Amino acid sequence: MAFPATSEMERVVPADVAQDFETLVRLYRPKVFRFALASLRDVDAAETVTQDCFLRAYQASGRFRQDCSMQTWLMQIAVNLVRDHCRNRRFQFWKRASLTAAQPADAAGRSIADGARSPEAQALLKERVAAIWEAAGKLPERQRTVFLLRFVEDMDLMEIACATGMKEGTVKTHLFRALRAVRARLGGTA
Amino acid sequence: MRHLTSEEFREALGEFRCAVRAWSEDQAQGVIAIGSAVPQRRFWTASQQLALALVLAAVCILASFVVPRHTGDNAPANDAVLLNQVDVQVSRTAPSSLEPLMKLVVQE
Repeated sequence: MAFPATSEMERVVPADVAQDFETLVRLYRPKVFRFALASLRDVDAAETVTQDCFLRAYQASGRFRQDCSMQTWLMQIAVNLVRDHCRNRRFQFWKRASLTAAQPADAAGRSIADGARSPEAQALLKERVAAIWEAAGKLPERQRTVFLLRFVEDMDLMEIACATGMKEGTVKTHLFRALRAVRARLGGTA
Repeated sequence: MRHLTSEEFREALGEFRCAVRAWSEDQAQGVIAIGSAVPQRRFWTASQQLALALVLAAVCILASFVVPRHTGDNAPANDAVLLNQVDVQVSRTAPSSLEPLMKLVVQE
């Protein structure tokens, strides 16, 4: 499965990972951190996962076969680390207390308040963002991963399949179920 | 209660994407050091440190009950001095108060 370069970032990254690892970190760290944060909702845990991700990428750089893009390869590592972290956290009951209280809806105001919408429309959109966030948090692990990779990271189905190790049809199924659940939650708030 | 149209749902998802990205940048500001090279793993989070401290405290408390009280390193030496004193007292031919008289008897 070979993915063409989809952005300027892909062309900047050299073929040999170890040669310019600093560039790799600078380009992809925000993306990996964002996915980990959206999945775990814990800044400390997201930071740990991000660091682990690049540590493993550095250690395994010799095994990168270029059968997928650099971004997809890193996201594959991140997805595995997030999954491991979720499993470990089941036994860390005190960890729930440290989950971040802030929500994307808090940041939504900046992008929504562009002056083009009425205050009522802005409030409604902010409410919908909060509802999607809440619904995404209640999704099963795989559905949530697929949902976030598609609608936050803007990855296509083949990239998601490569990053998660699922077949493309399975990704579609999870995405359909996730969207149905999120839409059902939104329908109730609209 | 009405259902969203596809257009509204698409718009909400787009706004969700923007909001998560902005929120993530906010959260990362205090965490990410721009330009850091090879990442350094952080081994202990705050909760792990707290858990480790609690475990160590519990081990110390248990150890204070389980491990027997130590009597001191110089105990055998003290015992030897005491036995020596007893030996000296027992081996005397006369009590210490009568020892001057014993000397006179020997001289005569």
